[in-house]
Amino acid sequence: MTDFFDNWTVQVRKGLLEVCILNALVEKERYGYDLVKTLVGIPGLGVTEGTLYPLLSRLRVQGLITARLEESSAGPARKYYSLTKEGRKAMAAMNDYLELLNEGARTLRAGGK
Amino acid sequence: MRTWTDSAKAKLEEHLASIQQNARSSGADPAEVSEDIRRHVEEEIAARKLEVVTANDVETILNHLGLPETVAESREPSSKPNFTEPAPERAKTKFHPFLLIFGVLLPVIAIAIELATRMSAAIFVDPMPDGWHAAMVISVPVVNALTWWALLKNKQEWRRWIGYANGFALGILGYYSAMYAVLSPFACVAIIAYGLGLLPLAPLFGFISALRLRLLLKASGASIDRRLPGLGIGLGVAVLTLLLTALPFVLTRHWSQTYVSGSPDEKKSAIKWLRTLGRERVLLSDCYSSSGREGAQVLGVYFQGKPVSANEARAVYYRVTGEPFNSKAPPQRDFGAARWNFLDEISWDEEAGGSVVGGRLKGLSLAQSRIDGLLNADAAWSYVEWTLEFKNGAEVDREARAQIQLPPGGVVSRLTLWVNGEEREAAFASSGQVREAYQQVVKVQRRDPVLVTSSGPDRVMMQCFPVPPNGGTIKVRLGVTIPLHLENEATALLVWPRFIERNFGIAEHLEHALWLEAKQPLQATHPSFKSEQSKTNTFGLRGQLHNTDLGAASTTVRIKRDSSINATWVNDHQSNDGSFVRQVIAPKPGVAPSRAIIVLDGSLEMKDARPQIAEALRQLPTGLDASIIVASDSIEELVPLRPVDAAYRAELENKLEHFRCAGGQDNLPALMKAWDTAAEKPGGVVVWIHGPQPLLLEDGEQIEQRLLWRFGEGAPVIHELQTTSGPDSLIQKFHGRTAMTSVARLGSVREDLERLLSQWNPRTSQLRTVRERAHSVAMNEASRGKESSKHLVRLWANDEVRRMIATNRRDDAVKLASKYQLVTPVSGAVVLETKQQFDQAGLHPVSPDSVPVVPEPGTLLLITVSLCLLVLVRTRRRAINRRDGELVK
Repeated sequence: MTDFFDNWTVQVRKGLLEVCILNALVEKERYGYDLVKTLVGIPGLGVTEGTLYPLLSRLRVQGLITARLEESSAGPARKYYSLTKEGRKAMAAMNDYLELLNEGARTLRAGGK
Repeated sequence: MRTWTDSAKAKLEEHLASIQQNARSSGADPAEVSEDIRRHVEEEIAARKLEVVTANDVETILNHLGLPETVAESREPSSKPNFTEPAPERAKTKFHPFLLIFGVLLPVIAIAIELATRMSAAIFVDPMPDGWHAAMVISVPVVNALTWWALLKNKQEWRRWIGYANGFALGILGYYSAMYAVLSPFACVAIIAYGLGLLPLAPLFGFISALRLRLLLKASGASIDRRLPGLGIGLGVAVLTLLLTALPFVLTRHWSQTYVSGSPDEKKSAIKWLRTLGRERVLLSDCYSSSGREGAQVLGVYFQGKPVSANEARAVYYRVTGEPFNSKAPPQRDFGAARWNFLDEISWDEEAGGSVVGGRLKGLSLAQSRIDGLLNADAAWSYVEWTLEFKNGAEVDREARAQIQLPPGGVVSRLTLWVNGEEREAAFASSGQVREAYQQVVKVQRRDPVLVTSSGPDRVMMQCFPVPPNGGTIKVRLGVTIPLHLENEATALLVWPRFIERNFGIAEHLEHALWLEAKQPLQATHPSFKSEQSKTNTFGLRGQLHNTDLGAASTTVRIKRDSSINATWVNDHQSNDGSFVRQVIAPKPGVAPSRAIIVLDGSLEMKDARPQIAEALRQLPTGLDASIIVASDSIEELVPLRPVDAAYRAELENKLEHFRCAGGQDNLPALMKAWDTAAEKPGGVVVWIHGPQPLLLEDGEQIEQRLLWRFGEGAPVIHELQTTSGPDSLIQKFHGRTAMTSVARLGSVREDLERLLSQWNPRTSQLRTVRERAHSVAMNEASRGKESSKHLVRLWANDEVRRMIATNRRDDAVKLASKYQLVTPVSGAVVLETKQQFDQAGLHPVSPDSVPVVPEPGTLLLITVSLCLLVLVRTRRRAINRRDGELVK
């Protein structure tokens, strides 16, 4: 049961990571380190910091987010990410889809009605 | 400063290398992922405040960071990192020397040379005609330098704004590359042939360098963002800036073109726009530009607007500003020195030898000026000599030209030129003959002549050539015989001659040195005048005046006279039949004209005089048929023709208060209309109150027809009153061809206009001076009055010449003027260098014994005799003293 659950959560997490990143950027732009720390801190997401950077890069290459550099007095230059127009559209579609799935699951739990 | 151990660095690089493959396979950018993880590690180190970073620290952080899950899954088959993939570099930096040379150094050198020499401005086009253009041009190497530096130092954080700045620089460089494209082939040939010629190519090289820098900048930041922002916006801003900076030039020239070639309505509209938004400096620059350099064009595109010709620009300048263009010196470049200005200096003086003064010539100036004069108040004449020395700092010979305003009624009776240190006298002959002789010498032989011809009532044109280059000088002297104006029977007035228009500069510190001598005390209110009395019964007046003060009312000299002397005479020295000239001063009652048409110039120059004119016109006699016309952009009838009464005066005052002066107005149409109205009734007059009319803006058969038929007795008289000093082409056009008289400018506009109007009042009388020639048998000497000098004869001859012109006896007038050595509307004076030149021209210089001088010959004789007596007395005294001394010994 444990192995089964673990494998299942891995599958779910994999699918949810992108939408979590996009949702984390919906209000404001964030710099990479801060974004990664925020996402790692989400209970249950169970993602390593090292996993997020390739994901951010892929989303940028796909045109869903953009990045810019800004000097920081506290350390190295910070890389700020923000949503593009396409990113917002994709995020909205993904959120709607998740809502639909949840609704379906809840309906099934309630007896199929 | 944080220190990384070698093993720490190696540890990090090993980790980064290990994730490359999987990052790529996951669709991410491996270089970007590496940079991000490197940045994350640095953030962790900064958060932990580590001073020395060891391999353990790195391992701890990396363990916390964890491997990407996909990597973790795929690492099972091989736990070793894939070292075949190259470790990503933090940033590839390169020096790019050619971009530094062609993108930064060459533009900087080109700008510095242009600012120092203004070479391009002088020979092709001015790349920096004002501060905005200069700022734009200078921004280019600055932007290129910053881009180059950002690449060298991998300043990715500058990337965004440098993208915009580079776009802007590309726009500016594109514009200047196109502007200089026409020179590029010549520059290439020059580089191949002489190794020189890079400067015209600086914009093109700068453009290529800026483009290459942009591509490199884009590639360097591809790991962050493949796109480099700012090209479109930067180019847009550059285009907008270029448009805004070029707009004043382009619009000014567009409106100038419209004024020159448009319909009458378009002309009016263009002038209105030019007066509101046109740039005066551009217009002035076009007035002085013979080649249109200011608006250089490439492939039909005028980058700073298509300029009109210099002559057309001069007309536009007057219509817009109301000032003659040559009242201003050529505009200086806003930026940089102007060593290449010698190109302007060697430009052809198109007016040389002609009858137009033309623009100021660079390097030519008045070096010295003195006026010496004698006054005879009882006989009411004066004779002044104006000695002028011109200096030429240019590289080529120059002709000095000036139009001179003579005192009212004055006539040039002597002209000399210094040739090899010796003063040479002039020949007097018909205007055409002396001008032809002058032109022959100036244009063909290019030797020393000076010419004086009449250019209007009380106006002469003086021109001399050559003023030698490189600091050379030329010295001339004009003698003017003047009838003194009688303020009343006991006071006479003298005003000074002055420049109306000139093609040479006058330094601010230069002052005209003035000296007058008379038998009665002299007075002038100007503070620079000082009275002297060095000899018994001889009074002097000395002054130093700036050029601008020379015509001021405060410099008018007043002299007391014996009011009982109303007749003077002198034998006619030019005739052998015993004739004499007698001058009588007598009061004459005023005569009202049948109608008076008053033309007011609507030019801006009249603005200050307007209240004075309004005040003076209150004196218009009641009952006189009068009309007031304003010469503005169209003819405006201020008050229609009707008898003057209280209502008329009230309407006139109200209308004058509200009429607006603008720019420079063409007075000819209004003057024609007034002249026609005045001619409808015998005894009609025109009073034309005006500022300078430097150009004849309209000409043609209509005016020629009137000048031909409306001539001689009965023709309506035009009284002209010029409010401010300046050239007047209309006066020149009418001069000697119709009854035009100048109202003597002795005081303010109001005073002079009131004096004219008072001559129309039959209840008041004016003192008139009449000179007549008679045979000795007609009157015995005792009855003739007080004997005076030859100047009375000259003044009579001048009057007689004018009478002959008025009755169309021009040949007789020429003969008389030549005989009495006068410059009149039909005669002139010329000094040539050699007897051969005089012979070739069929002219004979006057005898030095026959010319007037200051002091007069009688005075000279007296001084000589006095000196001889003094020497004799001293010699005798010394002899006596010596003898007495010998006796004591």
